[in-house]
Amino acid sequence: MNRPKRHFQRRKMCRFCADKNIVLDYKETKLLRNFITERGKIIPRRISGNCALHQRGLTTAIKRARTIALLPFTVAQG
Amino acid sequence: MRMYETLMILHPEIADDRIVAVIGRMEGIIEGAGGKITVIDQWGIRKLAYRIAKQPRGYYLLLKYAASPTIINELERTLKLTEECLRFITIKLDEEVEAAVLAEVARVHKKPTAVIEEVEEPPVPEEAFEGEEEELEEKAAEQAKPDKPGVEGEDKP
Repeated sequence: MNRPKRHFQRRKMCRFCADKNIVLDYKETKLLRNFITERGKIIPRRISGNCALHQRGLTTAIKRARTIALLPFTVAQG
Repeated sequence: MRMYETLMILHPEIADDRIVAVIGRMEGIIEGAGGKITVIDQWGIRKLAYRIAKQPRGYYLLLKYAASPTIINELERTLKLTEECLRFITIKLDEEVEAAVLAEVARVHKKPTAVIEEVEEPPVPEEAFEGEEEELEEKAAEQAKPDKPGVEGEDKP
């Protein structure tokens, strides 16, 4: 019953590491919208493929944008 | 002096001269304390992601300035007391900026051209990610099977 734990091959590179010119700014809603779901939740790192450093920066940017009403906290479904 | 930026939301239904008055007040505080404003960007009226003070829209105003850290408290206190201002956020951009470099930077004042409607780009559907997690697990399970026959094939002389 002991299945060896498999680590999935990371399919995606962190797109912020690949292109160093993109700045994570809370004002760039077009960029940030790619990283939140329909309901407004932040997409986890294992799905988006970001590295830890950029995921942290992204999270801060999204949270700041939320406080200034550029992004929603939550979107009611249906 | 450090570079800061303050983005504030003003009430959407106030007259232009009151907006100018708010900007003037900010200028007074910052430049009165020896700071320098580099950018005043009036984004104009924009749809908010959620209602603030029962309003669905707000007037966004961005200020970038260099100032000493001590005046930030005063600035924020003034903003809280300003009745036109509904919400604000102050962010530190840079650490020390040389005064000589600052003196050369001219002030940029951008005014709004039209009402900005936020273009609704189709957001990423949540189901896609839940599906993807299962896909990843299935892939791992599939990888477990072809490993064995492949290895045996290579061993044959």
